[in-house]
Amino acid sequence: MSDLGPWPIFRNHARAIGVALATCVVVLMCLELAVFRSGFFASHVAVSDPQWPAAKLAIATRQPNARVLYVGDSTMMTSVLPTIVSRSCDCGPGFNGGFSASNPWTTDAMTRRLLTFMHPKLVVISVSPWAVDSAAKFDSNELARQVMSPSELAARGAPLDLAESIDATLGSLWSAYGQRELVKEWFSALAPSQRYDESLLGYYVAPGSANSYARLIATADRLFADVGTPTADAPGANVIRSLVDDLRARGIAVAFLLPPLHPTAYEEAGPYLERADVAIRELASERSVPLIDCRTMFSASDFRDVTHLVEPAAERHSACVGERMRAIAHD
Amino acid sequence: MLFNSLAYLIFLPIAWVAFWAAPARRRLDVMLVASYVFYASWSIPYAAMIFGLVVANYVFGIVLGRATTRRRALLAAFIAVDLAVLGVFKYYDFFLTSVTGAANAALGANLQPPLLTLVLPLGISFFTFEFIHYLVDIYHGELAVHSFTKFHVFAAFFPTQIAGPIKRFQQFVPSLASIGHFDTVLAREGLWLIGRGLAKKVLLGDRLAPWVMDGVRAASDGAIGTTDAWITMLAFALQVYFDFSGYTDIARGSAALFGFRIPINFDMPYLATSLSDFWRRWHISLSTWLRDYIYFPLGGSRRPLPIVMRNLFITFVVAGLWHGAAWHYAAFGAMWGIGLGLQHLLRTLIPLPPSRALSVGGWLFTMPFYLVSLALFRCPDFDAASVMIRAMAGQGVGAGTLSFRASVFVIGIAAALLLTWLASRRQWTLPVTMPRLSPIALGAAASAVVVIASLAAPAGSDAFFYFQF
Repeated sequence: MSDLGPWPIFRNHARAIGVALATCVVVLMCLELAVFRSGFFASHVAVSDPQWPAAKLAIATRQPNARVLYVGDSTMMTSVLPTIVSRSCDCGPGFNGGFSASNPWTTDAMTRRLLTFMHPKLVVISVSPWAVDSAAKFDSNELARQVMSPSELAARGAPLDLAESIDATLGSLWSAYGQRELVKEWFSALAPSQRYDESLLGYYVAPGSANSYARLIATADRLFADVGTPTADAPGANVIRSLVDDLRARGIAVAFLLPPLHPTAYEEAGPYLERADVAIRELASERSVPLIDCRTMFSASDFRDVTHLVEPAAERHSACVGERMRAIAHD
Repeated sequence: MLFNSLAYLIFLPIAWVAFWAAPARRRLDVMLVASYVFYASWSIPYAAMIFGLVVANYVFGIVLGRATTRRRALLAAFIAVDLAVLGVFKYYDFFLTSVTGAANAALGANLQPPLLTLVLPLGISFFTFEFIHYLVDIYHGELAVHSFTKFHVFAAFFPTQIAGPIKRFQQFVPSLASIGHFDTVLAREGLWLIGRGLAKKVLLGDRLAPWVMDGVRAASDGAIGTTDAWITMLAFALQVYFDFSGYTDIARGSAALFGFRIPINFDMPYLATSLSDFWRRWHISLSTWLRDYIYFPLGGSRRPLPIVMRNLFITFVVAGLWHGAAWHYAAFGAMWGIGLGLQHLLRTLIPLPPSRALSVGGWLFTMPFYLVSLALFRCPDFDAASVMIRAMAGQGVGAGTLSFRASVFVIGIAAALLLTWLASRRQWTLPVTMPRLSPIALGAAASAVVVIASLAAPAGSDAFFYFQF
């Protein structure tokens, strides 16, 4: 058996390979410095889908003057149009920082990330029934990794493993890799009529609907399948409690929003939702946080699915939220 | 270790350097070590089990090759050992659950089956089929592989370890003789295949996956619109093609870097003009395995019509169950078995000469048939599959599961894929010749590849769909 490996090829072309490698490194460094480190990417990136935290953060950087910040899960994202609230309450510009599948831990992290460049006077936190569930616990998933640093994850008891640490380090050194999902989102936004309208200030409802009776029942069953007991002492409630304290320490007022849910949710999990309501009110009362509750004004036809309003209903909800906020301000 | 992971990006160059840096007579040993590192990165105990199976089948092969009497009994016993291992891991719980479920329904009892709930060893279905092929071919007169190292590399070869293609030892083992010489052309082809496979998997397959999940979830919830159902199944057809053929490209490309040629597994399957033509183009290594080791031994197509139809049915039910231990997979296979049987019946009763009209008509029948069968394949249970199929038959409920953008994207990708294949088949190529690049231009091109690869990297670790089989 002969013993010819690829090495003679490398030896014969050593100089050319060296020049090519050096060129490659220089081009990559120039790209990193000119596009990412210079701030060009951050100031120009557009998104087509603002439902996920990195996209939300990207568009939020262009709203540093927001005076009211709305945070929470998708119930917040789909039910509050900041422009309409601002008009109703006369409380200055707002920004909706809610994102899909958020929980108290990621809402807390997102709020802190937003506060690094925003200076609101009021933060409205959407408190879903699941936020005060005794079984809810921190989950170190992809969403959490988008809004939390490795040290924050470690503090929550979910340190990165070796592979994740290497990945995170590589991502922090080479931004085209670290911010690849955002870059891809930018490419998606370049397609005709796909760019998210940033004048909506973070409000977003996914197109389509899922409100056939079968789907509503199935979704509600899934939402309430593995729940525990709602209580003001739940782990998530404690996270919200500390977020409230921290915001107040910074001189920022806080309010809780009770998100509207489809009547099917009450048919499927009425007692659970009643207990959750009690727990949230107990939490609000304990910390003297005003509650914004506009839930009674909606019927089944106002919902896209079990947890999200259609746009006309969200507009009415926003007007109601604005009115309540004005009342709170007067109180 | 996934092919589309950072770990593989590190593992592959290290294995490549170690392989070519070793003296030619030691390269197979290096390949073995690399293969076990690859498998053990997922599970050390299962890597040990694979080693045990390799040793057992090596011995089986030698014994069977030397035996002059009771060869049939020996073959049956050896195959039974391989199938028993597969059965314990893959089918035991399924069988027991089905039997107790039926007993509970019939007797009104509440029997709880003693399930093993074992984790399925990655690639075990592929391993088992390769072992069976090896033993059956020795039984039919092929010479057993006497070098344990060569047999070991054939069985444990890391590029094809997890999801094929299912190799044939008559093709693979002789190619081991050529690893003393680095083949630049083959290596370049390998790099191209790896790049193409990654692009298929990450840029196309993974992008389609969320829409497929949305559609399947809607069906599982009990309601999906007619258009949404068709788009969902079209999206899944594209996803599973890009995912699996992307995996195969990376496997073949990785093998080529080490000097091994692995046969193709796909040949423009969505241009198939009949049901049988589809299986000549889709997962070729599996369909030829099924043909050679199940269909032909049953009698193939040289039997009376009802027997041929029965043979097709049995072969495809096995194909369905090979994909997974669940009745909806069996139903998927049964649907194809019945379809192919009826096609055989029609061709026997009404023999038509080949024509363009027949091809177009055949394609127009084959593709919807395939998409409907995918509902059985992809949906998690019969209830969801039945909702999906009823919706595809026009009895959909609601709309808006998939956005307009998603639908346009899916149809656009399908159209682009078909046009590319048609152009390729008619050998329409652009008259572009690759200029010889200067080192600086080569470096700039390499940086572009790095950027594209960085952007294409998956956010999480999206496993290949066929890894579950």
